[in-house]
Amino acid sequence: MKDNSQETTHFGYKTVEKSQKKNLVAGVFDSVAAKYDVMNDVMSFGIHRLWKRQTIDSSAVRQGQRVLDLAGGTGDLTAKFSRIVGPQGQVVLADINASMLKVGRDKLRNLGIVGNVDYVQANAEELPFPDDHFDLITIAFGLRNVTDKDKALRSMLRVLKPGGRLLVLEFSKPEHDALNTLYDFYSFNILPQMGGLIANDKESYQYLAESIRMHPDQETLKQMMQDAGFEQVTYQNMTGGIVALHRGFKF
Amino acid sequence: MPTQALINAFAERLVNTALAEDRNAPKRLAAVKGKTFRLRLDMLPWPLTMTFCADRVFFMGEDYDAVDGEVTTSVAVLSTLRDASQVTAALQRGELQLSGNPIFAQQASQVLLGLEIDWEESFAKRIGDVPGYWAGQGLAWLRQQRPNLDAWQQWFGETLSEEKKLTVGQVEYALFSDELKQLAQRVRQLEGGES
Ligand SMILES: C[S@@+](CC[C@H](N)C(=O)[O-])C[C@H]1O[C@@H](n2cnc3c(N)ncnc32)[C@H](O)[C@@H]1O
Repeated sequence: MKDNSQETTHFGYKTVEKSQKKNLVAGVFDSVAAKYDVMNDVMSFGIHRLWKRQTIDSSAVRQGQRVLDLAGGTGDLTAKFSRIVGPQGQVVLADINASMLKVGRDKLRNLGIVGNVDYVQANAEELPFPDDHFDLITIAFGLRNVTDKDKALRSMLRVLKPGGRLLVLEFSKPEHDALNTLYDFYSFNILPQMGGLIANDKESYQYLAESIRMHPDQETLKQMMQDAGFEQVTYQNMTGGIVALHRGFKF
Repeated sequence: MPTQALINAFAERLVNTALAEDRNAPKRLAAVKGKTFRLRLDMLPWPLTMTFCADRVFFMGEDYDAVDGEVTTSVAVLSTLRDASQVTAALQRGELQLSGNPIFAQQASQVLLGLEIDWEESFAKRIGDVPGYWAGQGLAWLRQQRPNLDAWQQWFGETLSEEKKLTVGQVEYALFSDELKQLAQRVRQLEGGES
């Protein structure tokens, strides 16, 4: 299904034309943008904040650096990066979706975060930045929505400075079967219901649950990063492997 | 990991609330802005890692590896540090280890130790009078346990002047060894001339 046709890809469990996926994903995020932050807290019981903390810890980000928060959506990571890199540094919040960017921009402005953040509408597969540009790139819960992940990873490698690091925070495969079963039940029965209840958008959350299952597991993603040219690639499981944080360097 | 992140999140909230109440906090933060300090205490299961920004502190996890200064010690030692000589003695006995610039370590500890706010009142504002009172009492107790700030300041003062002496000594030594080398060279030339 995947290998013998260049023309199709996954959209959740559905197989769709590659050219279609971008628009379908856009539809999902257009529709969840306004309620995205609330849903994130409710769906993950607030744990996504801890996963993001761990991402910052692994970033070694410091004053004066240039950071790309790719598929940054509503800008949780950007908010923290912006304060850490300070006025001499720069953070680019990039997302393919204008609605998500707008929610992000409004939120950050309300938090008083201005000055060192730029908002760029961009596709992860074709990043509109010069070579060797960023000290750090993060992509949190974004890679699984990207149509051509290999292309996106190569594009990230290109814009990363030598010595820079990429962090991929993404849903992954739980380490134990029992957790897996429980998690499946949660994702396919409870999550879409909550999506229906809170955001009035059951389909989008059904898509999210499906896209999580179709996303490569820990070892596969590690291999993909290595194939794209990243070095010293490692990953760390969080919450029993429900989420994994992959880290790779460009040398 | 989640426990650590959770506690860090909580500590961050608490400390930043306190810093926001303290008029002098921006001044203390300005001195250490953009830097990260780590305190390793025997009692804590993981090190306390603080990244300072213009108006707040972030509590980082132990994986954060861009640290500018670090102090390792135990609570027992920390609470005995009442004067400068004790700090020096603790360092000499190896009960306290310091890496990075000692001035930075002092400025970093000042951010928290220098907090001047009416805890009881600010907690009361947020969580109601009775819990506010208890939280205030708890913090008052904690503050009694903190090391004497003056002792630290005195110690840093003394260390710095000692450091200066040390630097002078090093320069003198370098000059002296240059002279020695020249002397040795002259002796060799003389010997060469004779043979
Ligand atoms: C689940 S959200 C994550 C947002 C944020 N990083 C967070 O962790 O809260 C996924 C984001 O990926 C964005 N996205 C999807 N495909 C993308 C692509 N090809 N390039 C850039 N962003 C993309 C979506 O618009 C959406 O904002």
